[in-house]
Amino acid sequence: MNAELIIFYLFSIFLIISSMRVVISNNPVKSAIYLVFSFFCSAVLWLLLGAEFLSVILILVYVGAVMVLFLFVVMMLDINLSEITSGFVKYLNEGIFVFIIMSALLILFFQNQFADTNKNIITEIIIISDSNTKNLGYILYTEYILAFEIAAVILLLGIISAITLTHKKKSDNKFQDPDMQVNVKKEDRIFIVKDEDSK
Amino acid sequence: MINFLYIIPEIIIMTVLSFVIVLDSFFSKNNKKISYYFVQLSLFLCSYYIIDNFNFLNKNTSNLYNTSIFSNIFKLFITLSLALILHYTYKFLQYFKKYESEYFMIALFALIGMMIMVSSEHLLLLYLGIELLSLSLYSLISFNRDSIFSSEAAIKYYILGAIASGFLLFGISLIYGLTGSLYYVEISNQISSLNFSSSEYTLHAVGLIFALTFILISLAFKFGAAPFHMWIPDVYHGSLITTTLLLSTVPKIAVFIIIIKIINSIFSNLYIFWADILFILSILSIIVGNVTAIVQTNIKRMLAYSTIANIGFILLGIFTGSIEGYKAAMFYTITYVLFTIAAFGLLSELKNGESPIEEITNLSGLNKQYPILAFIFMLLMLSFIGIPPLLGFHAKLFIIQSLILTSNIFLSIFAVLMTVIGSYYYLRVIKVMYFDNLDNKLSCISTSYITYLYVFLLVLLGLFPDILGQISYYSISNL
Repeated sequence: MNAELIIFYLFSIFLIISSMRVVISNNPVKSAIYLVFSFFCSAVLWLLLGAEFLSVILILVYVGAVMVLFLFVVMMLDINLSEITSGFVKYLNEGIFVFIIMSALLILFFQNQFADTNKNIITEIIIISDSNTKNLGYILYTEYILAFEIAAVILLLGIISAITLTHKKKSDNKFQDPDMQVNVKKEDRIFIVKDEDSK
Repeated sequence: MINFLYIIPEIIIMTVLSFVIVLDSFFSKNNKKISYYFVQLSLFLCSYYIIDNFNFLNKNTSNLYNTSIFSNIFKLFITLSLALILHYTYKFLQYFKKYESEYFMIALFALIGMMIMVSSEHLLLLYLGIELLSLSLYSLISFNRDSIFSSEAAIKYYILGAIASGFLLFGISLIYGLTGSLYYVEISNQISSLNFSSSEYTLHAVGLIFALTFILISLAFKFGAAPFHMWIPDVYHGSLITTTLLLSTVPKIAVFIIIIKIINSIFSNLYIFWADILFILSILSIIVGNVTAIVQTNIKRMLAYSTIANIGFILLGIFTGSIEGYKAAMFYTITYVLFTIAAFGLLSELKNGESPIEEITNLSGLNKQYPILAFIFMLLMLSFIGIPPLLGFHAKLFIIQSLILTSNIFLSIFAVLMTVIGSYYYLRVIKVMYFDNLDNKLSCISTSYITYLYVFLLVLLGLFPDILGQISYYSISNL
């Protein structure tokens, strides 16, 4: 057993355990941290496959940026724990049923599919340099430029719909309009009432 | 590399969109409607360039992106339908003081997503197109934030849609693992070179069927076929009626095109497997849709279940696997979309008191107050049932004909029986409109000359079904 194989099995087991803990864990903050750990484990697996650029990106973007933001949101929201965990036992039977069927099918499929074949089916990758990053950049900006642009459009859509949905003032919101506050006149505030008795 | 000349329609939409996004923030509140006119302008400009594209067609402009006759016809159809839908939406939102330019921008994003779905020749691009469309639909559904139903519908659709996208991605990744490519052409070449007899399970077939099932489940969810139909009634009910109008029409064409493309150009060799899946989906959809629609009192829910039933008929056409079946399914889809736009558009022009139409009983006595509108709505309902001079009859006829041609006699009898059951809830609407007492709160929010013209054209199209038949035959043979 060489070192590569040991690392692979070690981090695969870590990955499986931590992914399960993401779902099972009672505390949402713990779930998020387990998610961070499972991202880290898959980054290690990618590194073993030779995809060093993607694995670094996974750690930088997901662990470094996305998950930290996510943790902030989870911590700021007041999540009722008992409400989340109440459904767990209720749907456990169905969940286990689906789990068994899916995993049986998957095991059947993977045993049949990749048991005896050892051939590399992925052909014709344009390699312009030894560097992973360079190859990825080359293929992203030539062959897949359209897909790249569409991903940008999806991000723009995300920004616009998030702003539209959150920025809209609800009719029952109590908010201050600075414009109205500045432009207020004396007549809007003071009513001079003639005192009838003093006459 | 892609020749950018061929994607000018998409580029135009995206350019106008970016322009409007920036410009809109400079408009004062009263001038925001200028953005709407820009959006409409972009749609017509886009359709002009799509028509222009017919002049220099090339079957394969790029491996990634197909701008053949087939995709151009449907891009044109989707763009023009969206122009009509946005017209109704604008009038509705303006009347109920819910107008926001962002609604129309997001609708344009959805249009780009659908164009990508129609043209893509690569599974990754297909996924991106579906995501673009779904994301814009989620935000359109939750647009009406004052209503709790709207948020509920959006959350439901969002979670289920995310799961369906996960299924699609899983299927795509399995296909990549098995064939080593994501291009439709190469996958199909790989599958046909496997050379397995389709009756016995070979090693490769198991994996491919696995992937095929995942992809079909995801597409059936997006289409709204029966075991995956749970979101449709809630979402149709929860969102604004014009969002329902958008949701129930153009995306269905796009999803239909993907299903027919994936089935016809990728998995054509696996006919016997996907035929079984489609068979179950279509039978369940027709039964669930027609039977459940009978007990609905909300008109949006009723039309939602009728959508499910109609989708069952479309899948029945694809199930035959013959060119006649595809043609019939395409004819049915186009007819369904055209008539649904008219039906929801007409409903969006009516109001009950100070709120939009919700219940079927809101329509009672429509004939006494607006006889023309009542007559038009009756025509639409009769077309949904399939009464002869209207287009809906020909659509159902072609489906049943294709079933008989492929010697599925029992299925065709089943389809006819289910049509009879389905006619009950359409006829009930006609009964409410014509024979019930007038509900005085019913009124019309605007003049509806465009609806008159549109329905007149639909009736004319029903008298000459050959036009639509030729178009669907032509586009299918150029697939």
